[in-house]
Amino acid sequence: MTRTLRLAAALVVVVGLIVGLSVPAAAPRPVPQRGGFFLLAGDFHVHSFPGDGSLAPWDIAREAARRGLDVVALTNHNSMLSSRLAGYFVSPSAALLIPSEEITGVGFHLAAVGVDRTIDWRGRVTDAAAAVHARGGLLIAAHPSARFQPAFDAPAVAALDGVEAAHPMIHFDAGTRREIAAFYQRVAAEHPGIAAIGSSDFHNFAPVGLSRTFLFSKSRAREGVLEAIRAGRTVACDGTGQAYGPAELTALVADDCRRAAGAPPNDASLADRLATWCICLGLVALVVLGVPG
Amino acid sequence: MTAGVSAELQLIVSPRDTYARLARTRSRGGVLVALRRPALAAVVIGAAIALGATGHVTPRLLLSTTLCWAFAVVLQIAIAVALIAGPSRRTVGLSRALDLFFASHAPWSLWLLAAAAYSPSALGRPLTPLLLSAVVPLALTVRMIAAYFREVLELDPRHARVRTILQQAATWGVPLVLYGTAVAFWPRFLEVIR
Repeated sequence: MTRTLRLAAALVVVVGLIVGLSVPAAAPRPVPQRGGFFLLAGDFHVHSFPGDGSLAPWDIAREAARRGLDVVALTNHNSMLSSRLAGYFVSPSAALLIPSEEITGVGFHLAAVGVDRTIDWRGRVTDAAAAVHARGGLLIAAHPSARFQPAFDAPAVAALDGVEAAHPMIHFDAGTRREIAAFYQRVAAEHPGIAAIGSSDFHNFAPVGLSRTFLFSKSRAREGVLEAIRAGRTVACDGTGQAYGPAELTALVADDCRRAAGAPPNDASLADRLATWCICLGLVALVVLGVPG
Repeated sequence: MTAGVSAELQLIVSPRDTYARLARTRSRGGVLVALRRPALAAVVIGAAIALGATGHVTPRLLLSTTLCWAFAVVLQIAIAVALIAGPSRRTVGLSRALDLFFASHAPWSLWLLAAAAYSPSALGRPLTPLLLSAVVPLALTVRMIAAYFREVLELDPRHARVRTILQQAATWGVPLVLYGTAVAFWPRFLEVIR
């Protein structure tokens, strides 16, 4: 009897795998145009394997495309190993991956986007900014809650290219939401034109792009993305669909923000759900029924 | 009473009796026997990671996550072999001993799949209940591993306790060091002491 059940469980897993093979990969998102620019969706703070994220870079790229993102920055802590792997194995049909890192220093975290080697974390924000800019990258203040704000004096603020105005932390409690909002307002006042960035800080649990950035970009390539951020042509969107950024730009993408919040993946289908259920329930059954002998 | 119930479930309920019975049961040895339970654990880990991170499991994603995270199972095998190979009065071969060791993975396997299905998020379910629930597989596994050392390796109570502590220290210590490296532990530590 147990043997029959084990075979049935294994068969359920196999059926799940076969059904899963029949699910087509998420089709590339048609990129809309707004105000003469490409309206790209990006997530500029994503952790991956090998690092403290659970998905490999090639899986991040596919998952990002599934979630309606055009561009992702791989930002592991003080490491670019994942970005280097991405250069070898990521399919060009998936989302664009920009080599990046999260500079994790003493009292500050910065997303260094578009760099080609790790940046020394042992200096101040301005030291990191100089190194990042010298390598053609740009610098974003990551999850700037009150704990991190002392590191951002006037020269540090002036050196920033963007601020994470939308981050999942703002959904945890009202205090953190106020702190991050106040920091963004302060920086925007001191540094007009700074980019409002929405990032998911994805590690292990779905979804990538929970908070995201809409960019008004001249091209869909990496250079276009970086130029749009440097020029401040961005709007940050949080997980509830609220937009942050210059009023004239937020007005253009307010509907896109609302639609993106809680939107199902591009390839959501009955077959996809069936495959997932079969594989997972089959594995649960195999664990419970055990191995013979 | 226990006929038809898997060894994995019996171990959860009564680890010492079950391991004593399994150690007496004649079974084929060999690499396949040694690796069948670790292989299942690796696929379960891969499926749990895929489901938690993306909300779905596809063959391609499952293959990728299983291969990427197989190092966790390889680490478990290395720790187990080091502890099994030490002085003991075991009567089962190494392959069977490794097979029986991985029979204790069921609580963590089930917890991982449940955690992935629960899938906490900033806008949804909180993380704390998930972390608290990990006490259950942790406690069950420690009890099962201690029973394994007593009944399969036939160690006296004191040596069985020592090896259980060593196994748990290595199982949690090595990943903790890897995680500390991945999250840039040093600047965070400096930030705290300042």
